[in-house]
Amino acid sequence: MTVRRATATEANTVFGFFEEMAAGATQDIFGTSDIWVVEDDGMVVTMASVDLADLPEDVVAVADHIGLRIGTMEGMDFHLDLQGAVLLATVSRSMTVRVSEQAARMWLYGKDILGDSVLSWPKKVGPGDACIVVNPRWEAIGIGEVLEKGKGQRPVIRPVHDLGTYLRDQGGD
Amino acid sequence: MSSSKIEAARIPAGPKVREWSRKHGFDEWMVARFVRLLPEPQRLLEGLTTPPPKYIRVNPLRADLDEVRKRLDARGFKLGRTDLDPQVLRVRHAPISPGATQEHLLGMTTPQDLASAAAPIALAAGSAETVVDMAAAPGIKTLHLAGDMEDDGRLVAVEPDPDRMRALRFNLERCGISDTALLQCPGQDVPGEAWADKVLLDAPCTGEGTLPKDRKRRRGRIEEITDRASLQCDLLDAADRILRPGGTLVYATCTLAPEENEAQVQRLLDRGYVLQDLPFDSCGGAALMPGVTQWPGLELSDALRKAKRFVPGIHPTLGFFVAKLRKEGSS
Repeated sequence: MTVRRATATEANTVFGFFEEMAAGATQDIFGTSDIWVVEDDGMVVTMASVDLADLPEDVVAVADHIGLRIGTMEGMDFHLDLQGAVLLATVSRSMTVRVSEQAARMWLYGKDILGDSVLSWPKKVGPGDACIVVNPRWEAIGIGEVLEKGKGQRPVIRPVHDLGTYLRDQGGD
Repeated sequence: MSSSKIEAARIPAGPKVREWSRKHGFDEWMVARFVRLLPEPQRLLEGLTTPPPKYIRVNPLRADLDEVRKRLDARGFKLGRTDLDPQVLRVRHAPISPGATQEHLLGMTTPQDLASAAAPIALAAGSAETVVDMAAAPGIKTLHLAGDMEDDGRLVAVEPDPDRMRALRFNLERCGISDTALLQCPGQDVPGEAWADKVLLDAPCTGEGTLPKDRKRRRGRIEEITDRASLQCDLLDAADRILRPGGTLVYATCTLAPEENEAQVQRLLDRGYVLQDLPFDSCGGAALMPGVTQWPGLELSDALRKAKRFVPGIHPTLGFFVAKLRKEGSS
């Protein structure tokens, strides 16, 4: 395992992804934070306080993880993770599907979102597209894939990542 | 620092101890030690056999306290304020587990015991500092430290166990913490010298303070105290090594045993550390119990009165010990 600061190319790929979603998102979300990567089986991308780079080198050398996981990188493609979606949803609604409170509750148990529960959605999303699912208060609760357009062109969404993971996989504390 | 073994004191059990032991289902050696330790052992024994109050702490990085309270009120929760930490709310009624709410999953709240907030409060971590949480999982206190540091600065969380590290990572991620480096290694193996401004060691312990939620601990081997004390010595030596002169160390456990508490702090005092006043002296309206200065087999300084104990039955918490020390010298 290697934990290191992202190269300029890698960081620009991440920033480019967020800028594409919303102009100015990079500054709003990252501010002065650094991008780090954790290389293990794949490449995890994290956002980290710029001060962490000042830790002693021998401490960084034995670190297993630094910062907040926001996505993964495959080649030069950045893929959003749960907390990346949470951050993005605070500055952009371009790929957010807003659902009812009841649907949000069921989603956290891993259930699909049916069209009837969708309150608002970007008209451009279609089958196969990824979207950020938000509750009625515009808080991101996961990332989904649009399965189809249902009644009134409302999307039907299956979970890809949902916040319920923190409960199901960890088993509480 | 001396590495001499700290042996657990065996206190003879009289008739009253045997009676209380039978009544509450504890080992006699355990009750005998409680009776020696506390002026009101019956209140402790009642407290140790009563389900503990539940609390949640609101993550200031993710939500405003009043907003969270309003949201959980709307879900049927009944919450009350606490006097130790304004971010901690007592859960008086919960229609579902506080760890299963949307607010929890959104990183706005985390279940925790009130007393465990005492250790981060004592450390008073700041945003420009290098802070180490040496036995971090599941990360409840790490979250508190990150909040105090406004998710800025350098926070290092250490945990040797892979499963517990996973829980730690999930908790930090859920709460959106980005100023933390995670080290999966024994605390003794944290590298370097004199680089940390502040260290929190909430040490692995025999957990006598958690008896209200864990009946299994009512029976055990007294030798476990000696074993844990040995591990605590090693961890404190490592904490001492990485802490810069003039830095602050908070030592805490969730056990009552003086061998795991005052005896450990005394080793640091012998090395020139100075005990500091804690920024709290009561909880739930009752004064905290000062650290003991007399215990069979131990030579303890009067300064140890500055350390404090939370005692089930007297305070509305699990049992907890906390001491704040300053390392001699300047940075």
